[in-house]
Amino acid sequence: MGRDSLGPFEFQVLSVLMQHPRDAYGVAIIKWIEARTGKAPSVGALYTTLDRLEKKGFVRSSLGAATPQRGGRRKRLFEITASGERAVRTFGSFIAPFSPAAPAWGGVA
Amino acid sequence: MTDKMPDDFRRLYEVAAKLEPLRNSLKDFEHVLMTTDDAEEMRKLLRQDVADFILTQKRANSVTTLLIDTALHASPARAAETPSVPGWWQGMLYFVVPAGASEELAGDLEELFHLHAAERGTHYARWWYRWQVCLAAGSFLRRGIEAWASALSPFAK
Repeated sequence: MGRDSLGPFEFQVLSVLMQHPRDAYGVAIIKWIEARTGKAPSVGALYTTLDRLEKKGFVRSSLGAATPQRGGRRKRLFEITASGERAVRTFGSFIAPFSPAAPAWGGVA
Repeated sequence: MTDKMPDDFRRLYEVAAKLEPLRNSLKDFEHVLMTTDDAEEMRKLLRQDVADFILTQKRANSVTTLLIDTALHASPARAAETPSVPGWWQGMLYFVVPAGASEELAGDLEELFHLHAAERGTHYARWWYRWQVCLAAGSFLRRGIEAWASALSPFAK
């Protein structure tokens, strides 16, 4: 996969970060994806994806506060960058013609 | 403490108390079983009697964990305690995850562990935690292999 292209899961993560620009950390992202897709991704898969997106320059992260529920460990807060938003829009326009709702499929535009 | 328990729980607690000292050795078996879960594969790697013994322990381990968790959480003294993540597996997490990501990943897993424990019980939450550690190991291993293959690829830009 090219450096600037996205996979389906990367697209889901970036879309969620676009919709929730504040307080996005691992658990919250998992819950948001689960609410939309009905399936919770694993924590390991999420972190490897976020790490890859950060290396591509599509997200940036910073350390947040620690809480007792987390065993005193700090959260890592994620935020989408301008290039990340561009990548989401490009991916969206790429898959839109293949949607069953598109005219080519006999659906409604 | 056992005086006030219903009879069924008291008997269960007594069995669990006897099994508790075996817990560490059973965890070693659990590790072997997590890395090699296929019975035929295990018989190729190990002597027949050893493989059969481990497979027997696998079934015993499930029963033991269930007994211990049920009995300990049925006891009045433990009921008020906050459940804790499986310690050995938390150690494994720090071993398999790169240092830069381990703190936040361990924190997220612990937060989700408590959510699962509250919603579906401690026993479920512990098995969920163990499975997540295995998945995290797989994800980071795959990521490492991809990076390594990409670096070596003659088609890389």
